[in-house]
Amino acid sequence: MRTTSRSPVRGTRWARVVSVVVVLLGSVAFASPAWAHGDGETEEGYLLVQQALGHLAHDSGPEGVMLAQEKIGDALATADQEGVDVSLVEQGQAALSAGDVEAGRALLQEAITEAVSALAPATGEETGTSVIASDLPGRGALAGRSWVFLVLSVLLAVAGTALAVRYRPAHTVRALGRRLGSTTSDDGRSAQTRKDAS
Amino acid sequence: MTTHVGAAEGATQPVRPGGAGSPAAPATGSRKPSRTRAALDALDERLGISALEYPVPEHANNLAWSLGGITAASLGILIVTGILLAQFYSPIPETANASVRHIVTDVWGGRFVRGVHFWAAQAMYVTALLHLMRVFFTGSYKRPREANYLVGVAMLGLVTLATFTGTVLKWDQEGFEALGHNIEIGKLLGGAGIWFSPKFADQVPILVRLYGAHTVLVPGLIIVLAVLHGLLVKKHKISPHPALPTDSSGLQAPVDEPTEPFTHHLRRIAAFGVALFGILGILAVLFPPGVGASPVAGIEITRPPWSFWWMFTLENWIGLKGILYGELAFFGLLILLPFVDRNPKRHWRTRPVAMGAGIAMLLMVVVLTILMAVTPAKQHLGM
Repeated sequence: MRTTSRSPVRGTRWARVVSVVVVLLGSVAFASPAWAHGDGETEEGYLLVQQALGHLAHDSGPEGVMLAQEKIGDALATADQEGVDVSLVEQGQAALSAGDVEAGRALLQEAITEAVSALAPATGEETGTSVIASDLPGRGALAGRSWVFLVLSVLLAVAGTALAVRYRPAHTVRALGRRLGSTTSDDGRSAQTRKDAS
Repeated sequence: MTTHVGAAEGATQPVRPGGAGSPAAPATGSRKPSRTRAALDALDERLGISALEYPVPEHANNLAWSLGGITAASLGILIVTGILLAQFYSPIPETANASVRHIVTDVWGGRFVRGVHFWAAQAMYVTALLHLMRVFFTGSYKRPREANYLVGVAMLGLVTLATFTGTVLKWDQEGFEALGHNIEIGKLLGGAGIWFSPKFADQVPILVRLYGAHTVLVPGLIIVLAVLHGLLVKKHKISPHPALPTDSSGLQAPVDEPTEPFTHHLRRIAAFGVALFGILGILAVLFPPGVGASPVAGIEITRPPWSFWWMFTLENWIGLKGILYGELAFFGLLILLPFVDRNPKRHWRTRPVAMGAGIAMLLMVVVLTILMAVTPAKQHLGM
């Protein structure tokens, strides 16, 4: 780094920059903690069932089922069960315990039909979710149309690469260096200076 | 064809007299210009396209010096595919996820277009970062190009924002959790983060506002800044290559470095753009992005897109504030760079402090990213 004498004006400017950074970081450091959705875990029964469905949609293996079972337990224990068919939730819980994930999902989804049909149109950060659809995988085996897109893409990639090679600069940087002289700008002697000297 | 700057520097006319698109091209002898030539000349007379034929030093056509142009090509691909996707996408929470599934499964070519859009977003992010690294390692942010460097940093911030908003628009669990994080960070910012608060416009789904940001605000700002970036590149000229000599001012390429018209630079970028589109198409067919499960509030089970992983490792360590601190530190250091590093030298060997700091920062981001890749998703929202 180049060392320069510090003028009072520059010092003041730096002091301002530092103080702004300190204020910004300080406001962040001492800001009140933020919580998602304001109040931690929900008490709404239908939402707890949805959360169970969310875990199953993401992971239908043992871990996903375990997390879903926890949410189902919470849904059965909560006081707010408006729009939730508790007996269907219990059947869904039993199906999951028996290892039938698909049946369990179907029963849980059916159990909250009344609750989700009564939801107002979503505003703010509401999800608007009524039916929990599973992950849609990227692709399966390539079909005819995919092959057409693939071949066209390969042709474009090859054509573009060929054009890029054709339009490449006439000289490499190394060749330019040899042509202009081997000293770089940081050697303290510019090309113009060399020209003047010669 | 190359020309020396000395022959054309300061000239307002094209470098190649009589070259393609030149309005001043006289018909040689008694030969009448072809219809194509006449049409091009007529077009140029009215649009002044030949003004783009100003000379640029030959090293500007290297791949490393073309990364900014390739980033712009990615933006072009994103805009075209984005317009196509917007015809079928519904930005309403109740139907957004289903509309993405409809695009992928029912719209002719929809899976391919969405795949190209997704991969073009990755390409834009990567090429923008590579461009930034090239600018850093070759000292192109130094006087008199500091302001243009800051414009570039602002564009990188907008690209990050575009990636984030695009992630949310899928309206799957991953997108919803990304939104949840951003709302929380908005709260940490207090008044400065009000736009991300659902309370800012509580009768409108935040998804609709993010859709507006993703399709209008963010790309619009990127385009405005890209035009400014290009104009400033023209004003300050392409930065000298650190391995080559400079002119007497030390700020520009030497007068005896061969030049080519800027249109040749554009031509090579177009070629790179065609190749890029092909590569993106291959990726779109072989590795199309999936669509996650419908979003559910109150659970956190997904991982963010890879470009945010380094921040989320910080979140795993110190909570949601880690993302904010990480972002502030990253962009703060980038912004401070030209003000702190006043060393006029450009070659990496002559800038040990800047190189050391830059490589340390790069390594840190890479290590944090790798750590996230091997760490399972954790619950932070509502904890």
